[in-house]
Amino acid sequence: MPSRPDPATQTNHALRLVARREHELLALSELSQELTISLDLYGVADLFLFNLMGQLGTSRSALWLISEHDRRVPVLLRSHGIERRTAAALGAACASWLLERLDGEPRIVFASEADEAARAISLLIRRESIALFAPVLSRGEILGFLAVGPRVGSGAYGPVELQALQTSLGMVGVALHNTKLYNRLLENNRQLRLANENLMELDRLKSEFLSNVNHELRTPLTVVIASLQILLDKAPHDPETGEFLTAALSEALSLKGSLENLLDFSDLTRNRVQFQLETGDVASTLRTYFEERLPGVTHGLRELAFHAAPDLPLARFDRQRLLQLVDALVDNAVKFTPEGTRIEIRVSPDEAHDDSRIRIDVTDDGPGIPPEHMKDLFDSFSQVDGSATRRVGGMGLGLAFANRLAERMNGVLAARSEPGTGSTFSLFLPVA
Amino acid sequence: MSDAFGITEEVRGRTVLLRVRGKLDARSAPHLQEVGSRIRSRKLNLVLDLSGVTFMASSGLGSLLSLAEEFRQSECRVRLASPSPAVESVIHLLNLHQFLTIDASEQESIHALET
Repeated sequence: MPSRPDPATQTNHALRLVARREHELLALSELSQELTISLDLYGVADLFLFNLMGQLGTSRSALWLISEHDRRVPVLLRSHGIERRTAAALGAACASWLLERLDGEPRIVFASEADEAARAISLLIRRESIALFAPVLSRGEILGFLAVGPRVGSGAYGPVELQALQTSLGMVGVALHNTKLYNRLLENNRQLRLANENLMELDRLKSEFLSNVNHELRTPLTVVIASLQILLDKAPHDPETGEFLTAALSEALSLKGSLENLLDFSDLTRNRVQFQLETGDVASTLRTYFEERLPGVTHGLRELAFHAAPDLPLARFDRQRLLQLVDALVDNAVKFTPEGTRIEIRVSPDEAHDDSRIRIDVTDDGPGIPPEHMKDLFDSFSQVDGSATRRVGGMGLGLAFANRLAERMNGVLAARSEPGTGSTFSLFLPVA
Repeated sequence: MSDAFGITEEVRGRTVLLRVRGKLDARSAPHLQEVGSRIRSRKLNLVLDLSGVTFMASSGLGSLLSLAEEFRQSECRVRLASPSPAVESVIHLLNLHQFLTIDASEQESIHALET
């Protein structure tokens, strides 16, 4: 019969267990507190994964979301301890196999279950040292899934760790669902504001059109009125002709009055497109833009990051036009890259020109642009895929428009791209 | 000691010494991860001096484990130096001494990496 451990050893063991439970409770408490603050999809993913890794004692984790467009193609949100491209490939390879197991009964799927699956999946999971997968659920619906590596110091996952994992998954499911809703709301607000701005622009164009038409109508009308007056002044007329001429003159004068009223109105509302170049801080302008744009981009399951070098000099630019330009570049990056792409706005001094210009890069790690399309990138109505079957809508005006805006602010817009690696659009603005 | 998080960076040959101070938690963990990953992408070794860490939450430990794993897969190395009691107790609790390489001082860590 094995001997019982002495009381001191038993006490130490018990104290250690208590400390471990305390660590798990503190971890859950941290997660629950911080999740109520974070409303950025990628921030939630970072928080969840770091918290879980520290809670369980594992050095590898990744989190994917199921795309609303295609359930078989998961979008990698974040991976830690697993290289990003490797994690994206792992998610793509395992998604169908995993979802088959999760659809009927959402549960934790251990890596050992993959041994029965296709050999390629099993080998991949072993190579990347994945211990288990778990679904992220919200209201019974699978939002995404998680993979974690083995525990690096404390043996296999036991019932207590798995219970803590389930609790964390429940919290993050609600947080991701809320974040997606919040992002959609913010993006809808932004779209409404843009639609409103477009309506105002249309209104201005209407006034300009009216003004032009007005001038075109007034000149011949003046001739008509003058001719009628000459004819009336010439005596004698027969009474019927005099009556017709008087009526014609009266209507012509009335028409002239209406036209003048219309002209006054359109002059008041007309506001020709003018650039107001002012000295300002590019970084703070774009940081505000980034904060407003972030929810919409992440809602489309692309990551948007912002980085500004410290102590940048002031530059000369038109704030509204700069925002339009950068927005066109970000729109372009969103339109022509798949979900899961990382887009970064980076503001830095242009070291190649002795810091006499400020450089604004919009970089993505998408599929890149084929070299043969680089030369006509900024032409109006040019799209890389001009075929009738192209998957992205729009008239190809975005980059041409951005290029015109850059020129009007005495700036330069340039692009470089490497197929398979991504693209960078760089705007150079003169410092003040 | 202040709880405000901060990192100072010092280059010693092919090694970067990061002195971390304050609370290493959900707010600061992504920052530490970003700085560490940047050093790895420059193909430099890393020493994390954790003597100034006043509190380490689960997320903070997660970022340390993630960095250790990333460096393990690369040709660069990472060592932790003089962890504060707040760090040491969590590492001890989860038996992470074998996974994380820990030295008593930053000089020892730098010496181990530079020789």
